[in-house]
Amino acid sequence: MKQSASSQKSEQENKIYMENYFNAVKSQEFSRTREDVNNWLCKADIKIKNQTEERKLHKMKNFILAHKLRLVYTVIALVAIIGACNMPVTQSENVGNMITWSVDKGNTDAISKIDDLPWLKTADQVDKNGNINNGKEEIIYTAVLQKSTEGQIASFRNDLEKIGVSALKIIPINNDVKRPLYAAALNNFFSININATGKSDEELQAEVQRQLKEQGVEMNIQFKTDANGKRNIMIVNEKGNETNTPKSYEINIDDNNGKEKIKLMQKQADPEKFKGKTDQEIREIVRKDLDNPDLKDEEIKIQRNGDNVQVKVEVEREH
Amino acid sequence: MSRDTREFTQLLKPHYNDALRYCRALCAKWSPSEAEDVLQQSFLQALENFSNLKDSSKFKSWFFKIITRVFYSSVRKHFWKKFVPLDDNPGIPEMPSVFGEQDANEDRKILYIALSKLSAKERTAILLFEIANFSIEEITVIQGEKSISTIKSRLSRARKKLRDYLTGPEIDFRSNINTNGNFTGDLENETISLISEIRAGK
Repeated sequence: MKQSASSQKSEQENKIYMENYFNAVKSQEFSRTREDVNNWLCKADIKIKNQTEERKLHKMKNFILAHKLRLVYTVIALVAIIGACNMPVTQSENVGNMITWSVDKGNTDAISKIDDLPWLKTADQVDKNGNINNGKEEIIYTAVLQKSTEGQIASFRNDLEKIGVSALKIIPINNDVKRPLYAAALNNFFSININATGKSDEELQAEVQRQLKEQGVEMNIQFKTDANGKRNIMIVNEKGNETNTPKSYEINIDDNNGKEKIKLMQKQADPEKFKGKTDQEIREIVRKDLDNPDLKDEEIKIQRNGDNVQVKVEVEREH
Repeated sequence: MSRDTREFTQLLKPHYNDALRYCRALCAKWSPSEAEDVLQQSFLQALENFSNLKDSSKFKSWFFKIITRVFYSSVRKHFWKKFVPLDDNPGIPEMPSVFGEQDANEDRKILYIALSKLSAKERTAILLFEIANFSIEEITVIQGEKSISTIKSRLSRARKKLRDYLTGPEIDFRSNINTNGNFTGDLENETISLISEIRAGK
């Protein structure tokens, strides 16, 4: 960009005006000090060469002292992050789905097909209500399916559409859960670290329970020492399939005999799958399902209630 | 005297006066001893890195660049240094005093006060140009800028500000010069001087 004639003139005037002042600086003589400075440079050079490591350390120390503000900000930021991680957050979780549809009361074929749907038989709740719509009698179905996945719901919708139902609606059921931010991030997986040396079963149980509670999980854990001195863990999930119960968890126990890592996984078994099967057959199915042939018999807990068979806890150990 | 130091002092000889004038004027806002700290630190950094200077014909711009960097760094650290004294050079003897003598030249004192009103970058640019006689291209490199026009406009702005300060009727420069021959141009300097006086039990 070219300067205008007036600005060039003004610049020239500025230069001339200040020349005297700059000449005063240029006339300043320091030559008398040069010899002393040269001698000092020699001494300083020898010191520098002998103290390379020490000077590096001092530079680092001075850097820290000179950047106090930055360090303070860094510490504040870290405290803020830790604080934020412990802040309780509310998460909305899908705990199931409600499906509603209606069918003409005279459409016996459709009603019969609906009644035969296997997933409707196992639904948590099914309501049938009569209704008159535009002078036509119809049955309104409402089914509540807890823990149903998106894929399952899509399949159920497909079944109902094939039958030819009308006014089909799927309403997700959400539940607000409050938990610390880090626990929210580790919702489905977390670990507990305990030094069990010298601790009784009761003390150990109380410690695990306390750590679980801190992480927002309510679960009853029982420790029992057998005749061989080996500790056994029993997990009693009293709240069944509540959403804030993790699917898998890890407990690290540091005991007299060394460190033991116990990975636990909970799986809801399909009751139909085990009908009429012996305990051994069920265990084989579980081992195959989990792709873990090393699972011990006692690690697969089977509960029978008449025809209803439940396999609730599988335990996997590793040293 | 080692070969490195001998070569260093030889190369420094023709630029010695300019380097000291530049450093003192650059630290116009500060006391002579603070300007000496900047000079001492620059000498030590130059000595430490002298082996990296491959082309001795570039000694002048290389050394002035070091002074400029040390000055920028001192500007950043200046406030904290008053409260937490930092020993930058443990075990290194103190540099002999070079700026200690009372400066009787009034024009110089007035220019220093006017320079202290400029920003660090503006002051650096005008002093590199007027005192050290560097070209605009060289100043661009020393100040670490990418374009020549940045330096051109910086120089123009600095000259205009200096002229305004030097001719401004509302500024009585002499009133800012204390009996020791030092001047104080801003609140920070005044506060620091006051703290030093209280500590010294004056």
